[in-house]
Amino acid sequence: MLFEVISIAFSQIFTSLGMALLLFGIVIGLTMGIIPGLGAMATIALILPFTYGWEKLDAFLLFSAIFGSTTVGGSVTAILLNTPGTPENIATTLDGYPMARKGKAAEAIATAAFSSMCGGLISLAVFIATIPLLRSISLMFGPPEIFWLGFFALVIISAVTKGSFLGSLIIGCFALILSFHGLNPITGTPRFVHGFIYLYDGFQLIPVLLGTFAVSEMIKLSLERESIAYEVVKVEGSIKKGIKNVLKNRYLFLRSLVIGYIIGAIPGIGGTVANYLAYAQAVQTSKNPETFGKGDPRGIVAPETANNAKDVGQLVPTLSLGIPGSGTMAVLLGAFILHGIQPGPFIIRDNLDVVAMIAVTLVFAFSLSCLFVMFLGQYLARLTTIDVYRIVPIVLVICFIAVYYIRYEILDIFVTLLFGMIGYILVRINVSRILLVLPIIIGPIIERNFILSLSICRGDYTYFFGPISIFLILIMVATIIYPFIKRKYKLKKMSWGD
Amino acid sequence: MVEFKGTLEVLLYLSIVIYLLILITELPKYSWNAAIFPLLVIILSLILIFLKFLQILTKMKWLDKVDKLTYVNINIQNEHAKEEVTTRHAVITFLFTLSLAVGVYLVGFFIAGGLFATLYVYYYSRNIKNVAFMTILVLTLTYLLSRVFYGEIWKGILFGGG
Repeated sequence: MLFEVISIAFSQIFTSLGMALLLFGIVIGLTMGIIPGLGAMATIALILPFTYGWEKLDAFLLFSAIFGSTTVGGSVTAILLNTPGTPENIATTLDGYPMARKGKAAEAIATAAFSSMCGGLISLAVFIATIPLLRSISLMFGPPEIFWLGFFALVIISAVTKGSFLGSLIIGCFALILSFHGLNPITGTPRFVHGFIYLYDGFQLIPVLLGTFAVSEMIKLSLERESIAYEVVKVEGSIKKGIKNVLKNRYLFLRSLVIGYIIGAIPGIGGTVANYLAYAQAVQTSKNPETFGKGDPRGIVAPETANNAKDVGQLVPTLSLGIPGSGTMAVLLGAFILHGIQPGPFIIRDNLDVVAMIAVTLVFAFSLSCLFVMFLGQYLARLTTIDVYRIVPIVLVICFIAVYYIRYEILDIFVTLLFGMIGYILVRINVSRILLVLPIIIGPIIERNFILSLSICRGDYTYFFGPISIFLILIMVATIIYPFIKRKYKLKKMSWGD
Repeated sequence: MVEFKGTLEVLLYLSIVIYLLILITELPKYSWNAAIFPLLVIILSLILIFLKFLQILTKMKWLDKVDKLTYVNINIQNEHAKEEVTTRHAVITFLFTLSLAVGVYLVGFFIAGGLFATLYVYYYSRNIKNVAFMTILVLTLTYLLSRVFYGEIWKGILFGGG
C-alpha cells in the first residue's frame, strides 16, 4: 500500500505539470527564504488561496516544494550577509559569516547545502519507514481521545513556547471560542451570530491564516526592519571542500540529525531551538571549542543538518495526530481543510496518497534547492537588496485580493486585517501565533467529538478516560508540574550537598 | 524595551473578557448540545484570565512560576532588526494597513491598491522614482490577479460594488 502510493506520487511529479509545480515551488521557496522576513509560513499562507479548486495532490506538491526549500535559501544570506533569511538559520551566521569573510564563502555554502540535503533526505527515510507505525497509532484514537488530543495540543504548545504560559492558554481558549461562531457542527443551528449574516459561516480559514501569518508578518516587517540590504561577501573557495566537511564530521552530522528530528517532532518548539541546540552540542562535544565562532565548518554542519531534519520531524505530529509542529505546519493543516481533508489523527490513515506526495516532493525539494544554492548562491543572495517598502505593499495587495476571490466576500478582508493585528499583538507579547489558528481549525472537531463521546457514554463518564486519554492527561499534568518538581529536587540535592 | 507591550497585553485580555461576557448572555438561547461545550470553554477562559490578572496585580510567587513555565528559553534577535518599536510608529503602520482595507471596501482594489502603494512607498522612501515604479507594479499585479481568478474584481461600494 505504502509503496503503491509512493510510486503514484513519483509518477505524478514526473508529469509536465508536476515538474512545473515542483520547480515553481522551489524557486518561490528559495526566493522567500532568502528575503529576510518572508519564510515558509507566510509564503504558503499566501499561495494557499490560489490552489482553491486544484487537485489535492497538485496543491500539496506545490506546498511541499515551497516548504522544503525555504530554510535552504535562508542559509545563503546567513553566510554571505550575516543576516539569516529565516529564524531557523540564525546559528548558521555564527560560523558561516566568518568563513565567508576568510574567502571560503563557496565552501561554507556547499557545507550548508550538503548537510541540509543529507539531513533532510535521511530524516525523510526515517519518516517514511515509520509511516506504518504512525498509521497504527492513529487507529487507536476514538472520539474521547480526539477530544483530549485537542486540549493536549493547546497545553503542550503553550508550555513549550516562550512567553507567558497563562497568556498562551488564554489565547488558545479565546481562539477555540472564535471557532464556535456560525453553524453548530452537531445541531446545524446558528450560534453566536449576533444578527450578522456574515457570521453564519463562522470565521473562514483563509482570512484567519493570511491575517495571522502574512499580514501580521508584514506589519512586523514594516515596524522592525527598515532595510535589509548589506554588503555581500564575494563568493570564493571550493565546493568540493564543503562536501568533504560534512563527510569528515559524520558523527556530528548524525547527532545533529537526531536533535533536529526530535525537536521538530515536539509541537510548537520551532526551528530556532533545533538550530541552536545542534550548534551548542557541536561546541560541547568538540575537542577544540575555541575555533567555533571563528569560521569552523562544524558550526555550519550541525545547525544546517538539524534544520532540515527538524522540517521532516515536524511532519510527524502534524500528519499522525493533527498537532502542528510549527506555524508552517498550522498553515498546512489549514491547507488540508481547504482541500477537503479533516485534520486530526486520520490524515495519515485516510490520505496516505497526500502523505506520500509530501514526502516524495520533499526528497526533490531538498535535493534540487541544495544544488541551486550550491551553484547559484551568490546570485540568489542579491535578492536581499530588495527594500522592505517594496515587499509590504505587494504582499498586502496579494493577500486582500486572494482573500476576496475565495468567496467574493468583501468583509473577509476586514477579518484578515483583524487577525493580522491580533497576530502582531501576539508577536509583541510573546505568544505563539499557532495558538490563534490551531483552535479555529480543530475547534469544530474537538466539539463534535466531545458531544459524540457524551452521547455514546450515556452517563458512564469513564468512557472519557480510556488508556490513551489518561496518558494524554498525565502528560499535560506532568508538563505543568515538572519544572516545580525539578526545582524542588534541585533544592533538596543542594541541601544534602551542604 | 518596548513601551506599550504591558498595556497591550492588559488591553487584549480586557477585550477578551468583554467579548466573553457578550457570549455568555447568548448562551441560554441555545439547546444543551449547542451550549455545553462553549460554556465549559468560556468558564475555563474566565478562570485563566482571572489568574492572569491576579498574577499581574499581586505578583504571587506560585502564579509567577506557573506563568513563566517554559521549556524553551532561547530568544535571539536578528542583529539587524530594529530594537525599538514606538507607539507612534506602530499606530502609523496600523493606520496604513487599515487604510488599505477601508480603501478597498470604498473604492475597489485598483484605486485603493494604487493609492496605498503611492503613499506607503513615499512615506518610507521619499523617492518619486520608487513611488512611480511601485505604484505601476501594484496596479499591474492587481490586473494580472484579476485575470487569474474567475469573476469580476471588487469595484468598491462607492462605484457600484456589492
